[in-house]
Amino acid sequence: MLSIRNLQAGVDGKTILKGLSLEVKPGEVHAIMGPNGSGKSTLSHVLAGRDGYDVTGGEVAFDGKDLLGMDADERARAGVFLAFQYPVEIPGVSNKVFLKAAVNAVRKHRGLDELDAMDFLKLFREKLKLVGMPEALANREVNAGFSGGEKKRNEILQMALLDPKLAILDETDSGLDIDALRSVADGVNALRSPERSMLVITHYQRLLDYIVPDFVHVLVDGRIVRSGGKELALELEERGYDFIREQVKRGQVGA
Amino acid sequence: MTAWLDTLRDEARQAFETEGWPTTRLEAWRNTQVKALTSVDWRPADGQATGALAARIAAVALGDVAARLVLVNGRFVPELSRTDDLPAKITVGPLSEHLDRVEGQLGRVAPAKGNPFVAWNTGMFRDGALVHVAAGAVIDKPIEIVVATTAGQAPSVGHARVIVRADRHSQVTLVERTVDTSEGDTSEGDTSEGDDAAATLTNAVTEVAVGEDAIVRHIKVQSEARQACHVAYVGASLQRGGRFDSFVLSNGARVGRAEVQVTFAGEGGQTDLRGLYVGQGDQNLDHVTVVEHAVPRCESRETYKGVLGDKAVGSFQGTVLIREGATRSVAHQLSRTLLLSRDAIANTKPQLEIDNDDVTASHGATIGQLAEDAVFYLRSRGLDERTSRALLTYAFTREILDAIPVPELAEAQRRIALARLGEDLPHEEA
Repeated sequence: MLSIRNLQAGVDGKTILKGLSLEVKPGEVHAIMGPNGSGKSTLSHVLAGRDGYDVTGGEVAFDGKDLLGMDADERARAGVFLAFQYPVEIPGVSNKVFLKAAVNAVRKHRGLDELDAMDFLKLFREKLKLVGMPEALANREVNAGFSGGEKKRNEILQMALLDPKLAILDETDSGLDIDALRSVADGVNALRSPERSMLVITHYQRLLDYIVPDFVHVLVDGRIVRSGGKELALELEERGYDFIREQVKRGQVGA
Repeated sequence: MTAWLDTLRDEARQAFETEGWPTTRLEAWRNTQVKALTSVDWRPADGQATGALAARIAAVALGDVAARLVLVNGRFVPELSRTDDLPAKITVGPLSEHLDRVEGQLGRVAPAKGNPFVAWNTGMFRDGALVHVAAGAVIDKPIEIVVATTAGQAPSVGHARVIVRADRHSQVTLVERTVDTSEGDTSEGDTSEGDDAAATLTNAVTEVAVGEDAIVRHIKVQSEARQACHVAYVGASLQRGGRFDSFVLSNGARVGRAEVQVTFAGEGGQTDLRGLYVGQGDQNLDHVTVVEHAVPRCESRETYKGVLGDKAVGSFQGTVLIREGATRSVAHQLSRTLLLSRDAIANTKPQLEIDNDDVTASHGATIGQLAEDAVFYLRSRGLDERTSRALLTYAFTREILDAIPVPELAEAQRRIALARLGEDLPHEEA
């Protein structure tokens, strides 16, 4: 599904990802954990195709295709979805109009008929139910005046509607209280399927209590320095990132 | 006509002789391509109201109005106007037949002195439109005023004069719009370029007298042909407790200018001035507002937005004067301009002159491009770049379009905005 090989990328001449490799198979949920500044956001942005990052080495294959050669919107239509850490407020654009346009852009790419207003409404309501979002909220302008939890829920609603093959959740737990976190995680779990892979990027282990990953990777200074099962997250929580950094220094783990 | 009017016109002509054309050295004209207006030997437009023009007007006219008044080259055209279904207590018609109602208003709300184009209009206008709403009358449906200037062999100027008098406790909404008179098949949203016909200049002056506790809403739609010139002055004088809300929507003309001037003559007045200008090609769209707080407890709010692409030049210059005695005044002003191309130019200049301490005032001006994080957000959901940018541009204009108090007009303006940005732009289904 996703194959990252020796990825090197940075911004403004500063290298942030220093040779990152990762294999994600269909249906797998991989957590990427790391301290601030380790390159987590850069990884999610580079995968989603945000402008302003220089990829200086390595390659990324998605479904066997060269992901890095595609524009952000092409990647989205091909099935890559990024749930933003900070979803953007867009006053003046109706959330529903935006989502219908997005759904149809993706459907068109997949060779499916575009949905008309009635069919979209049906799908929309079904997905609202799945993520537990009130329709009145979803009908407002995109994220405008939404609380932190509402914005994150709107991200999951979008993910449900766009039905991606690969979902990247960038710090989806940031700014959420435990109730909101639980409800967002419920939405994500409902979307787990054997065809859909997920990359869950997070600083804290807390989210992984609710979205239980198949694999956990520790990102330090632009490289994955340790990989393991879900128990690695607990170890990190207990011993902290400094423990891993020390191990890296001593050459006990790492790239 | 009458003796007072003769005197007024003489004075206006004298003022024009003395002051001459404005130049960009005058602060209020700094951003207008004045030479394009003043270097032309304008002849009075004298074309007739043809069937083609009637069709043009019909194509843009509102369906549901209390009355429609059509001025062609400044002359009231009864055949094109609709005044047969008037509500009670309202008088509309040719200005020339109702001069008795406007003595003391005509030429006072829009003074010739210091305003050369107003002086020119006052000296030259041949007729005009009158709307007089009697005390206590509330007119629900809008009154539409259509202003057309026809092209001829030589460059042609039409002087349109509109007088609105709203007596105490009355309420009325006016839509004053231009019509594209160029040859060829054009609709309002698609103003033509490169037409061979000689230039036209519409020089429009609108004087609004808002009585005590009366409410007047005035929406000006400037959608002239792309080779036309348009200069407009909208003056309003408000008695105690009066309210004047203004919209200026500009997307036509090569050189277009609209000045809105509001004077509070009685306490407790309110005004809300909004504007939206969308410039493309080599358009020059200039907007000026002047609000004078001369008495206590009045409130003014202004929001102007501009969208400028290609090599368009757009400007907003807003002056708020708060005089010494105008205590407890409230004045807020906001100007936002969106630049869609590197060659577009925006000028904004807020100017607040406050002569007492007991006021609440603010102003803000931004000039910027589309937020790239918003573009990326939309693209990351599968919308292509062009659609993403167009959708965000449309969103920028919505604040003004959605506030238009005539639903039919608001909808038509939204459709025009969408059509300009791309036929397939996602939008609400009506």
